[in-house]
Amino acid sequence: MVSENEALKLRRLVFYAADIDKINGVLLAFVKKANAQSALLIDQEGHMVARQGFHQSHDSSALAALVAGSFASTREVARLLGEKEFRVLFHQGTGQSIHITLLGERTLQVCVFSSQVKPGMIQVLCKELSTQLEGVLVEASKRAPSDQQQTLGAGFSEAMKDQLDSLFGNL
Amino acid sequence: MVQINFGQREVSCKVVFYGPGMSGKTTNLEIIHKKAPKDAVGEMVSIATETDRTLYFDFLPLDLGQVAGMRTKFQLYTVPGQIYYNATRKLVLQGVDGVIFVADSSPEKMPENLESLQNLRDNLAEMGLTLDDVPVVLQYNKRDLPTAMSIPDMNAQMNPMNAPVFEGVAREGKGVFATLKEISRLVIEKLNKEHAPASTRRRTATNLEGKSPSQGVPVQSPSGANKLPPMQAGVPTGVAQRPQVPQQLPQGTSTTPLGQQRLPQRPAAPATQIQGRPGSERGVPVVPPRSQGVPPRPNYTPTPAGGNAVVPPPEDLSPKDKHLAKAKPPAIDKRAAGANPDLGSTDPNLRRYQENKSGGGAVRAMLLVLIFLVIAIIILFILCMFVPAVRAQLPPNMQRMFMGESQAHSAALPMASSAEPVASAPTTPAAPVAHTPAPVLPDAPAVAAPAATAPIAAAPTAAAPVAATPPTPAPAAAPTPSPAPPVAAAPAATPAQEAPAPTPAPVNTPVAEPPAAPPATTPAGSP
Repeated sequence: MVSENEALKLRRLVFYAADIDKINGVLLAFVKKANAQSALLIDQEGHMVARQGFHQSHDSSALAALVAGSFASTREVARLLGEKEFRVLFHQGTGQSIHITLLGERTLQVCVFSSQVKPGMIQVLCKELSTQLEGVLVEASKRAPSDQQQTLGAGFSEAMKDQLDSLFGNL
Repeated sequence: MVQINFGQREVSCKVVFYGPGMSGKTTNLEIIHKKAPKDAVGEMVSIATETDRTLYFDFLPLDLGQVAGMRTKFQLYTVPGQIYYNATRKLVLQGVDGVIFVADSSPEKMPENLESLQNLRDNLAEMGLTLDDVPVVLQYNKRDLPTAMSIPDMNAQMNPMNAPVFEGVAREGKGVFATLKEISRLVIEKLNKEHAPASTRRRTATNLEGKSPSQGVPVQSPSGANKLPPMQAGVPTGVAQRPQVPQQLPQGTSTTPLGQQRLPQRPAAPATQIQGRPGSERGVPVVPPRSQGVPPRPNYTPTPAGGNAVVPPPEDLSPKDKHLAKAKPPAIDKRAAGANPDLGSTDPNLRRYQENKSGGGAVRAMLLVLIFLVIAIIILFILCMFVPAVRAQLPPNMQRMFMGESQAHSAALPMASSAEPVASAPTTPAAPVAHTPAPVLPDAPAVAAPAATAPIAAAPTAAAPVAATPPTPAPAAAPTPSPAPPVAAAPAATPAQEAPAPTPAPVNTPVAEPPAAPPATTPAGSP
């Protein structure tokens, strides 16, 4: 039986540089091909994993948090309907629209489009992107943990204390 | 759930403010938003009802800057406190890394506190967690109420798990940051314990700076950190079971892990500072950690008003660092409201691409080429109309097209006289005569003289039939240009047909004349 810490560690999201590079490559190709404004990969808790592209007026961390919240609430709606979850959400505005796809169990792919791109086209393109990204994520999850050498520095905790003191020490 | 992103070199943690309704969770967040250094907090998002009750959650991103080479972010959420919002509360609680439980200190709210605490336990249990798995800090809020319960009483009821406790008056900002610091510390400590096994430790920015505590330098935390009561002397020491960071560091005595003197508080973020850690204060340029794509942003540096103004790189940096400093966009909250806040993508090329995309570069280029072509054609046309040298290069039919009638006429003549003798031929009345000059011409000068004198001799017989057989006699007459020939010619002329008359005539260039002249003379001479 694994300890509590081990269990927590297993659930933790860790992304390694090589995977992020791959994801970034896929997202970038997508943004250019689909003429999208931006494409993001976020996890269900609202942390941003990767992003490519630009928005004019919003904060992407807030976007990630709100999209995750929105997804979580529609999941409850889905449950009320006897569905496990809605895997695709599409919010269409007059100028911008956003397309959200669930990848696997816990990662969300978010694409922002201007209204110049037709909704049908968005569906097709996002479907294509989700297949690619799922491939990358599955590949990353299959890799043995021993391959993943990167860890946090040992002084991370101490450095953090310093940083907290210097930021909030006088407040 | 902590997200560690080695690709972006980011650590992202989720901290949730929990507690009964009206206990001050959102106020806590607002105070953090208001009072924290502007470069550390982002925009606060609140999904609230019309009466300002949190409906879903409040959200505040907190960026602590570079910590040991990783950009560390906290996402602060509050849950709706009202009992009937439990569904959304559960959603917000998903993947939580640390909980700040904000309790109301008034005695009549104690049942609500306890109910909310139990609700937290239940919700965590649904996710397979207990209060011992997740770092929890208690904040007893509204300590300024005259009826506030005593700390021991509250502890006895609410803190069986011996969580660190802080007193607070969130409205005035008291205790807010102490609570936040403690939960941050606990979350990071837990994360660090689990995720930095010494055996697999790799070179990080910390190590590059020579700051690794593993080098034998004792980590010296400010004295008495573990025993200091959190806020006031009134708090019993039993409360602070877990190590706590003092709220105010003893000035001048605090040290960095390296034992060097450290500024008592964060310097007021000079614009040229790249990294907020003490390393840069000592003039040691800190090498920003490498990452594929774009290096992570350092601590935000305030920029003068205006969109993406580039901060001039500090003087004491290496060229590479200067370049990096220049390449980094300023923080979102440092930009003017009107300017396009660009949050910095991972790929600067894409930005360029997207910026140039609108307006259509290709279309513009094609238009330019088209305009250029039209102008070139117009210039060529004008040249053809007014510059003969250019016009001469064109085929004749096009030349004519370019010229009006009169111009065509005058221009054609000189060319015709020189190049095409045939052109004038039709003007001569007698066709046969036109042929004769050819053989005769070579001798023209010689013949010309006698002919001029002899016409009379020849003329009498020449008469009308002359035209019939001029060719043969002509050579005969021609070789006799001597003074005598006129005489000889005269008798010879009797055959009448041999009249050389035509021959001298064509010698003269005006072709039109000779045919007319002999007939005129013959009638005159013959009678």
